[in-house]
Amino acid sequence: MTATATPPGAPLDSRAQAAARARRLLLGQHVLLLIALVLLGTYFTSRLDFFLTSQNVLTILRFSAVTFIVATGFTLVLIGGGLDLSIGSGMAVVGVTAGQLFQAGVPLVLAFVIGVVVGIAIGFVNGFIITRFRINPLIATLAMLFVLLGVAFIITDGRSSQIRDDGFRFARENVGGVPVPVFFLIAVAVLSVVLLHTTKAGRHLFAVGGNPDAARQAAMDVDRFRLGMYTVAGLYTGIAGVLLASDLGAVVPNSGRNYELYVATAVFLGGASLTGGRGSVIGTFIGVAFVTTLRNGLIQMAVRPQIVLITVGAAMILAVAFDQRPKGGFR
Amino acid sequence: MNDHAGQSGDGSNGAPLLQLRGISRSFGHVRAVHEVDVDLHRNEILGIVGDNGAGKSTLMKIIAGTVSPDSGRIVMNGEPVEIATAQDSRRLGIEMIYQDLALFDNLDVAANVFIGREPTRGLPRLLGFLERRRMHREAAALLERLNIQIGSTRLPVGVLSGGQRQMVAIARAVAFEENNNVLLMDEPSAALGATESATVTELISDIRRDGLSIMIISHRIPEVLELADRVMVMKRGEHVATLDARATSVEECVNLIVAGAPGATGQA
Repeated sequence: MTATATPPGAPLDSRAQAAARARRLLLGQHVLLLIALVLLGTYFTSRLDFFLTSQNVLTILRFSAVTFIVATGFTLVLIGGGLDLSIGSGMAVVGVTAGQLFQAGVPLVLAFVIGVVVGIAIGFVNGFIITRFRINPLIATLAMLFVLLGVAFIITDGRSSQIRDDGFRFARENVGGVPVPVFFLIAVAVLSVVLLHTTKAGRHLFAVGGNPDAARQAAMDVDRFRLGMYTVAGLYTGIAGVLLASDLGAVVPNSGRNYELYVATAVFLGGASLTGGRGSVIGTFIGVAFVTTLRNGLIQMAVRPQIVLITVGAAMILAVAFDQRPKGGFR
Repeated sequence: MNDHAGQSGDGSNGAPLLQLRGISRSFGHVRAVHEVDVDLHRNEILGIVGDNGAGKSTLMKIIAGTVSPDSGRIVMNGEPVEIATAQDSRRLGIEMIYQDLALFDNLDVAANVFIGREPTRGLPRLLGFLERRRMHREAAALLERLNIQIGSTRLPVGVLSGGQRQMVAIARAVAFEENNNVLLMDEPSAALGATESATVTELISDIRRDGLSIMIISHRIPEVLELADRVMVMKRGEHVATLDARATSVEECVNLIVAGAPGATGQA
């Protein structure tokens, strides 16, 4: 704001200017990503007659919503200096739990709520393992990725099954022309923005991720924060997992496969950093829109799934390379 | 800057503000601090010098509550006090600035000044909403009062120079002064160039004028002699001598640091 109003005589002007430039660049990352998103959409529209149909845009929105919800949890975890690779498997466990319960006659809302509670429990376990046993989050959540995948297969006995009752497929419904998951997206976005950017807890989460030692010296309970952030991320995994199962209308033990890839790519594109203390809900939102559009367009163009994976992986490398670029060495 | 005569150092206010008696602390077989006495008077700057491993930092951490002594007593304002945690020392109005400054590079200047003590409204405790405008306003006023030149309280601390970072750390330590008595500083100018170092030195003199008592660890003896009222020399965990900063010289200090002093007089 007033970054240029440095007092005279101080050897600080260049610093202040560097800061202003840094902020512009940061903002620039979101703007660049938005431009890339528009270009991508324009390209797909020119190649595909049905890309810009309301039907397809609704599909993109629906899938963006599920990815965004889980990606927001991932963002919180990154900001607090953690990492969560177990999100895809977590979503699968949540989804098959809710689906199996529903098929066994449990009312829809109750099945949904139990699914979300399972998600919260998964997040709590992640946080507990990491803070209690001092295990690197990469290792801990990678292990949880496999553990949870195994659990999902055990719950389903290794089989996928269609859910006959269309009542379960509420995620495919529209209310006033808007897909149901979008309402969840809005709720999660509002809750997360308020939590992260307006409360003391959000401020301290940035502090804990940015400099854990200093956070301890400022009398913050770093472990409790991390436990809390994994638990909130678990809540989001729970909501996303139920929505995904509902959208599929099926119990599929590996339904969350590759979500780590899509989510991590989106979140890194959105400006969050592996080193902690950085990230934003809006950046993640644009990142998710980009990744979902990319996948959707490529699939519509009948590009082979393997190529889609390679493309998204390449986008992740670009995003992280952008983040790691030497200070001032860009452009 | 040797205008200490007009200021009330040297215990002219009667009883010392802070007294340490017979403080010892060992780490395994290493006697980091052994039977050390310190007096810190009101509104005085006490320099602590000594070689690496002389026990300066351990002594300071004991006062800051991050290291607990094996034995010894601490008296503040004539009352015996228990300093078992950093919160205890903070409650007594003791703030410590560590050598690494403990700043948050990803947060802006105002956020760093207020970290852990943010004013909030609405919901209780951690769920309270930050009063951002108030923090920026008060942080800006604080910087102005301390004559700290930083363009905006909205700059992330990560882009500031070493001297600016040191000054933000000092500003944070003295921000809540209604309760502040003692400021402990570990090598405040270690990583700074000459100009920035001078600016920080000036700031330290300024905050002393505001009524704080300050203990400074430093390797730069000339700087300590310029800034401090008294200088305490430590060697291998023991108190060697405490000297009047105006009456001693760099050479004398260095000799005491290297050799220790058989004829050391007076307690700190």
